[in-house]
Amino acid sequence: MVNDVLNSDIPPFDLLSEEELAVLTQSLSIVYFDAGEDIIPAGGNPEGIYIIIKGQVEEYDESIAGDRNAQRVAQYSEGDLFGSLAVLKGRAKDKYQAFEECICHMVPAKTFLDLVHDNPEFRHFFHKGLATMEKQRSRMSVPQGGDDFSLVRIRDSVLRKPVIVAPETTIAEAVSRMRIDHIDSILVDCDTCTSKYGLVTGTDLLDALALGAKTPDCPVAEVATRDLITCQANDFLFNALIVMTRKHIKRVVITDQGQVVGVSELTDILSYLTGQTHLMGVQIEKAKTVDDLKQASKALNALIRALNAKGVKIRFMMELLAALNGRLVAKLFETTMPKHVLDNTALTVLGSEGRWEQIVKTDQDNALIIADGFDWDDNERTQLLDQFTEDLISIGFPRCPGNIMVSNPEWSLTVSGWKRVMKSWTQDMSEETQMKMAISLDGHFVAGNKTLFEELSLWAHENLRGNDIFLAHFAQPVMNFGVPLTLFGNVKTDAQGLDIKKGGIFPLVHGVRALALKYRCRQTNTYRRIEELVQKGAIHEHLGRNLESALSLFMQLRLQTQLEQLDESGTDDGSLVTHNRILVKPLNRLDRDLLREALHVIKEFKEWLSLELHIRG
Amino acid sequence: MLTRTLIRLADRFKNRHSDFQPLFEPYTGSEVVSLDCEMTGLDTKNDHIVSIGAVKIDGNQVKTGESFEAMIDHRQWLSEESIRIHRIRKMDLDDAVSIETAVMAMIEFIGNRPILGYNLRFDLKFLDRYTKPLLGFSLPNQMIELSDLYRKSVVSKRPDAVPHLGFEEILDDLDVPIFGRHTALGDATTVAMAYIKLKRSR
Repeated sequence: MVNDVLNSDIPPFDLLSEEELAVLTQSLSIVYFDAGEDIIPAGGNPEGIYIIIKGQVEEYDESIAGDRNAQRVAQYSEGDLFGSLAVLKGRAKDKYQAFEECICHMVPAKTFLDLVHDNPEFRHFFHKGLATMEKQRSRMSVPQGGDDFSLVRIRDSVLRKPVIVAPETTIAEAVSRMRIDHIDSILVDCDTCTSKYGLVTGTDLLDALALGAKTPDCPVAEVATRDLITCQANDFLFNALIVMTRKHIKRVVITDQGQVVGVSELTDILSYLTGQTHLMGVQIEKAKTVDDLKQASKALNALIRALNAKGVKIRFMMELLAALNGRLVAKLFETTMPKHVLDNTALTVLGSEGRWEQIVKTDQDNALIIADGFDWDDNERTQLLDQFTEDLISIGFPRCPGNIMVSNPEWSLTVSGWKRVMKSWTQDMSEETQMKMAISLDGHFVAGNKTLFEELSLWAHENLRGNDIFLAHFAQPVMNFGVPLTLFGNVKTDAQGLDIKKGGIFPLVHGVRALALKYRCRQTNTYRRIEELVQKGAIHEHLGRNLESALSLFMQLRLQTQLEQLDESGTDDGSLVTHNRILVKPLNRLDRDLLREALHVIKEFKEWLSLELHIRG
Repeated sequence: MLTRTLIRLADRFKNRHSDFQPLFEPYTGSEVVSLDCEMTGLDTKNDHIVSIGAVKIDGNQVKTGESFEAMIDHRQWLSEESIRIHRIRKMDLDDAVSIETAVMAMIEFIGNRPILGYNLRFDLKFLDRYTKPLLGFSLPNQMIELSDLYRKSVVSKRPDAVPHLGFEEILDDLDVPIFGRHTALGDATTVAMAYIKLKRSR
């Protein structure tokens, strides 16, 4: 009977042995509280830990200045557990109060402490950081459809043995060797150059013979590619896939402690994944018209679903999708722009696209960097860029509501034009300017002439730090929205759901962005920014890990709601503008615990940040 | 009421030197025991007790960890209808005990604490059939009837109200969740929770 509610299948009670569960059951009681009654008074020694059978409980930190709303730090609902921290510390810091009539299970403090003492796993659960809770979660959610692809390492996967030939090997010999071994690429041992090995592919040899006017007895060293793209054998297979997608190459050389240990072929990796990814990549590369790209883009949402169902980690998904979306945009640009434009401009994606954090396409943010002195006919320019924006919309990147698109002349400037504008942004404190600045800081090159982007990026990195007053202003919006710690608040917010973007993603991303600006990080991806900030000692490692976990959770929850919205609308062409509200009630207890914990991370991050950057709260 | 008191006094006197003497001592603690029995039917003479459940209450706590539950081996009487209502199949009774063993264990669990129940008199009539031959007396404990408490509570607030005293109606009105309906311990727990709420709302 008791187990109806105290479900011993869910953490942490599933960590108990049968004997321990029996001890627990024998000490349980069911307790009733009136609305407004203190369950655990602040400063009190709690009787035990509680699991709510019915009703809602609120946690108040009375040391916070302000009214009840300011003091309320958490809310608990049916199935939630509270009071464990107070029992472990022997004293409650916060007050736990019945918001409405409540019926709870109570595990007496002594029983709980005995279990914590005797069972290390059980103990670990309660000495939790967010990262630990995440592990519990992944333990709970059984991956559907076999292996968790995102955890496969290159060394354990589809590594092909490297075939290495001497530099004087002729093209003819190399071709026959490749035919015998059924391989499409061969490594050339050329000790003479900076990189020890060169790579020759079947296409290279064909090109050399057919177009390069080489003869079959020419040494392969002459046609080998020298700047090899490599991955570490220890790295995740997923990363190899991302590298290939980004650089649009079909194989990477795998090294282990500096030694070449194999070659990883794109087709091999893709056979690991759903067939769709393969089609996607190929479809994008083969596309010749806007319509071809439209077809490729349509398949993306199906791919997202497949990856999500496979339980692929959100962070990897974001990177892969960013790579595919990036290639999609790049390919469109390369397909529609004449050569003189491609040589003299750099297309840059901004905002979430630039950070590689857009999974479902929500809007397009892009800008163009034009070479100084490029004599571009005004009519042609307007016509090409307007068309580009329209084409992007047609392949599924919704129009940017803020008009941050290349078709807007404000976002299509020369290198010196950009420098001037960006410099002026650091002196303007208006909110609009601040947001432009923020979006631009996330800029990432996708197509055209990369040197233009590099030049501007390097300049910005060295010149755009601004002073502390600027930074404080810049980071101010982090404080704009309160952290929605009361997950089950009034019915009104419940019906609309919790805006995970305002409440969680934005403060985290923008706060990290401000820090990245202060500490001159050149990364644009939030995870990488956090890593760099940790390396530079700007933020504590513990906070860094917690922020990463929190961001992953928010992204995962947002993806869930976005996919649900797409399912409901039945459209898959990206024309649907999705919202960011998630419903808390249907989440399982562990997800709610995680969400509550993650939102606390945000709250603490905001408090810390306001001191660090002298932001007025 | 008067006869019951007299009988109790007489029983107490008879047992002044017996092992059961402590049952007649006035209870001085703060606990109450919620008791429920499941029967094969409504006939107090010919039907049988199937299971007994009891749980201690102290203040605002139902001590589910300190509970009593006994399945009675009554395989010979198990009718199809009762199997349907109580969901107790013959095979579920492999751990069951004789009614005599169960009643003695129950008495030890309850001691001289007051007994709470819904429609308690009905349960006691069944129990009397065994306590009288076994002990020589009816349970002498103070009895608390949930429906009486509920009626008083409703009438004290709205003197002209005619309260519905059905089990489900009381629980519904008090907004108490049902813990395992149709198991003796489940019903005892539910009644205990309703009792705590009634005591609190005064």
